[in-house]
Amino acid sequence: MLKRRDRRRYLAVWDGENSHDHRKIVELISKRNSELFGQIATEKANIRFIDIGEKQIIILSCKLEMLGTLLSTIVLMESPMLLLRISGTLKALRRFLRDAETSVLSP
Amino acid sequence: MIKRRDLCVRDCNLERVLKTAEILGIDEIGAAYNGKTRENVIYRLNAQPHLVSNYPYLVVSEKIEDLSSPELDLFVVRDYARVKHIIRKRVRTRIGLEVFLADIRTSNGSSVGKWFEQLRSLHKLCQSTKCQFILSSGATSPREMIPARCFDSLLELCKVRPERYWQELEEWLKMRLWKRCYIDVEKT
Repeated sequence: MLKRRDRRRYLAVWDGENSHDHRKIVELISKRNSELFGQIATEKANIRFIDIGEKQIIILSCKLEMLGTLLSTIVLMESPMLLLRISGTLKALRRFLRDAETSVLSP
Repeated sequence: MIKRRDLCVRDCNLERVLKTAEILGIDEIGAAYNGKTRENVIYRLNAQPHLVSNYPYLVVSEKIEDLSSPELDLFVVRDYARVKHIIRKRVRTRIGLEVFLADIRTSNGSSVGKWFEQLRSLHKLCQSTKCQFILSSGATSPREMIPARCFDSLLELCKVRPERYWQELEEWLKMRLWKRCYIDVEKT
């Protein structure tokens, strides 16, 4: 039987001026996701911290099958976070972040 | 191509909001009128302007006594549980019933769950009364704005098919704004 890797999506999230510790952000998102969709959904989503870039843009990843619930969770976070981009590959996401006009993110 | 719209952004810096909307995949936004007009903005007014307008606008209210006003385009539902019976009795067909996501952002899980149940009920009510169900961010800053993909996820949670929602919203806006042009031309 073929062993297939999980299909994942990479998300670029901007935390604004909150400047939470990046590990804390994953914790906060997981906590809110559990509150809204349950522990099983959160475990299934397998949310991971990938990287933190310029202007506090955080890159996260999650399993594709749970992307919908994670998107709803990000929108329903108590301290708002802006989801800038979703991508199938890290390379494409990083290219977007490099090229995109991110001046709107300045306070 | 389907256009995605967030009909309520309450930030005064329209330039910044429009740039953010572009990044988030939102084609048009709704905002308060501040004297200047911009492309891709539908203005939210409390009453019809006295003079002929050269910009698209919707007359918005959240006061229940305005619900049966013939001028009204959009009624903002802030507390559905309290007003649902009044809406059912007094709502005029073809107006928009709008809810803000910003109202629920700081609530706990159980309140969010109840709110989504109310949204499903409001959507059903809209279908039975031929009104337009509208989900808006109610954002007060670009950080609170909702990306197009997240709108789709939220609509799916409300058991609304996103493509159908955007299509119906487009048709409803076309109808409301066309009627407005017609009225404005008649005024001249």
